Amino acid sequence: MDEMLSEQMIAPACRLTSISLASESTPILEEITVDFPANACTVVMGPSGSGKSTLLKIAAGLIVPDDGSIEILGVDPARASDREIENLRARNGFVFQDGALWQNMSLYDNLALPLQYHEPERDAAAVRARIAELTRELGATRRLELRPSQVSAGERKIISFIRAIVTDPELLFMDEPTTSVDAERNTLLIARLRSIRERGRTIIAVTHDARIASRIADYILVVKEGRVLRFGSLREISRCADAEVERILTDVLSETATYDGDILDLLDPDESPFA
Amino acid sequence: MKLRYRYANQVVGVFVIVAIALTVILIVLLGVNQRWFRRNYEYYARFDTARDVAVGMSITFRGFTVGRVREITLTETNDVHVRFTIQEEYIDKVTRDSLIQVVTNPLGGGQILLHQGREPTEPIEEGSQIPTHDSEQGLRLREEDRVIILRDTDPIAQALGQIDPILANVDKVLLNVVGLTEEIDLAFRGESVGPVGAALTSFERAVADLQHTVAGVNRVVNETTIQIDSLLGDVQLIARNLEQTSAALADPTGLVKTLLDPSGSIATLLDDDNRLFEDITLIIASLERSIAGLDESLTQVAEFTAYLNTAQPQILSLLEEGRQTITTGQAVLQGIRNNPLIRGGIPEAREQPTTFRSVRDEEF
Amino acid sequence: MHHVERIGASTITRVDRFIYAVGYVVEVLRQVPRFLTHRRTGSRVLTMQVLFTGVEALSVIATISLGIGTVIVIQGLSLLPQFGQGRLIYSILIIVITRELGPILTALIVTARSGTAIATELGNMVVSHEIEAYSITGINPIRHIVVPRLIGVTFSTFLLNLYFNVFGLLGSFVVTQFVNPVSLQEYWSGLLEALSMTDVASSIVKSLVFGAITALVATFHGLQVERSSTEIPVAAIRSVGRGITLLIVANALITLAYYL
Repeated sequence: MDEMLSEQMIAPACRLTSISLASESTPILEEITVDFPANACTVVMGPSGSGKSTLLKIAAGLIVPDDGSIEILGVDPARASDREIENLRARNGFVFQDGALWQNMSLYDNLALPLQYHEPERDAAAVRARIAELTRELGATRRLELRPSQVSAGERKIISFIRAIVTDPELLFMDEPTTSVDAERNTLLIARLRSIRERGRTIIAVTHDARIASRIADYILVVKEGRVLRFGSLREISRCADAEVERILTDVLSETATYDGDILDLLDPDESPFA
Repeated sequence: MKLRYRYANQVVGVFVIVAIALTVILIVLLGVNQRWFRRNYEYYARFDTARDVAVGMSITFRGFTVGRVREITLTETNDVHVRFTIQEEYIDKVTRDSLIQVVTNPLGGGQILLHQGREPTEPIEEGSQIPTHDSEQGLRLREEDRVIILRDTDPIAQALGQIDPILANVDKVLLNVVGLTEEIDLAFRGESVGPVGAALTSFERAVADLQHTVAGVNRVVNETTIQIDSLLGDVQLIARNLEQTSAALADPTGLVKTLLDPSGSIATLLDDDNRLFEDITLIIASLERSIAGLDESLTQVAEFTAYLNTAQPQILSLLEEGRQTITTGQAVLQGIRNNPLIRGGIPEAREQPTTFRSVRDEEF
Repeated sequence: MHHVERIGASTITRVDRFIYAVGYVVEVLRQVPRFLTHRRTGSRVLTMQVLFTGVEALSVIATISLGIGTVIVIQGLSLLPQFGQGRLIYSILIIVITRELGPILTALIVTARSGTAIATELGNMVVSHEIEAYSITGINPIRHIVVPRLIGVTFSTFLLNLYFNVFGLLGSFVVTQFVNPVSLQEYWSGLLEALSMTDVASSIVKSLVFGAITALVATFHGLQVERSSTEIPVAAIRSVGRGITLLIVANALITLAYYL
């Protein structure tokens, strides 16, 4: 870990220090200290119920931990003013596991609201152009006048992804962005993620999807039972000799893997067809 | 999408605009009705006591509310300073020599009357003092007849004012009655000071009392001073007298027996071919008519008292009592007329229904 | 000792909850001016709220107020003239419809209809992470969700109270025509005579306060839902129960304040 930190030339995009959280005296997260490097993609992995989603929400400042401090893009949400928080939010995006689209708005309004809110200088035509561009690129439905409940789960997920990136945030949080998304659009989505990363944005993703992990991850954070098991670059982790890490990664990745052979090879960037 | 959702803005717009229009209309009407946009002119008056005046009391002129009492303060010299306002449209009524008078009724309500000066002048300057009815200045103005004093417009006083002509009518009837009784008296004088004479004298006395009272009522009404209590006392007295008289007349061992007593004056009467008796019968019939007239008048009074209704239950009950007494007296007189000729005896009282029941019949 | 501890603990919890609720109200009120100066996105929510709470409740309000106006006129006209106090009917109409029943009945109907709807909707939004989605997008959920509902419900309650008065007083006029016909002019001037600015002010203050209470209680309980959808009906019921209690207490306090 020390070695990794020394590689970091710039401040981390998100820094968690001694984070603990308990639900009715059952610990969910314990003493988590992580610096998510900026301008890179970190994938959080771990077995179900290990607290990955909670960790992501804490990192995004959505859940206030019982203990510890957070810094997101240099801002401590616990101490920041409303205005600072609002500015911070304009610079990040979040893809929820269940989409969390606003049910009482059309898909179009779901996508337009963040733009209208943070970029009031954009006129209606510009908003429409931006939304059209992204929906076309990601293969989302053209019937944006529908309500979220009127489209499929995969469609909702894509729309929710577009909503998170519509303002082109510096920091993107994703909780299982590819579940229930079909293979074709999964490919489009990953391509988009790669271009986001290449433009120097920071991505923090919780996923079981081996394709995301192998194609866009720079760093891997392995979590187990509310603790950090290991954090390192993709190469480090995929070549890790730790039996427990290996077992976890195998279990996690096998849920989505369709390849035979050594599953950990999936994580090898050199093997990636998109690399 | 439902139609009303598509046109949400329009629907909500109509909803809001209608409501706002209604509010504005309501407030404007309220303002017009309650004179928010009219100016009031201020004057003041000095009273000895604040007992009969109250903030908010209205000031009336010929039955119109022309102003209101705004403030009552006690000055260092122990005068009561009453500040009041006169509405813009009535300001020309407040001329020189005008004065104000507090009238109260027994129920505790009251108002201030404005009496206009006799000589038409420009309205007096705002903020000046207006003398009261019983102040020195007010007395002088009244004595010199420089102010027009009308009867007040208090509802009870008004009702009493309407009673006035009826009472005058009663008065006339009573004069009649007195004349008749005097005639009867004359007829019997020298012949007998017996029971009929005595009874009639007692009746005469009662009637004279009633006449006296009516004169009293007239005085009371004319002076626009309401002395309901003494008036009530008088009426009560009359009622008692009438009652006693009719009791005397009705007493079978009294008058009727005496009339039939052969040694009494009746024997004498019957001896001269029924002439005198017929005279008496005539007189009694006429007396009866008069009393019937009185009864009718009192019924009318009772109807007028309907205006006072709950306000003055005692008056109503006493008038009712008086009417009942008279009805009894009437029946007795008819008995007298019938009995000597051995016809019907005292008839069953046929109740003439009044508009209002006696107040004693009902708890308030 | 055990009981003492329990009382202590429950007192602390209650005080904590109360402080939390007060903090919530303060935060909402703090966001109101920001919403008004900054309403890039919330005006649609506001319109829809007025549509749901105001327009759609109009028929219920009209029916109830017509009924109540009718009852007052029939009872009043059969009783009052016996005392020679027929004109009191106007004062009674004003006191009952304008001062008392108008605001409170309107608020109770709004609580029953919109209070539950808002608590349920917000509860659902919490469960489906829509509130978090607002937060992360940088849209203050209080400003964007609670404030338009607060304004919409308060404004609608105010307007509905107005309609309640119109229908109540108009309805009683129609009924008067059958019982004891008077001219519209006479009826109207009788009403205006009995109506004072205090009555109007009291009615307006009440409807605004009641509307705010309804909205605050409903949104508060809706947002109290944490993660399970089974909490939503509980929140809805609680918002109605708590709302009605608070409305009645507030009504008593305001009426009292006007008589002091």
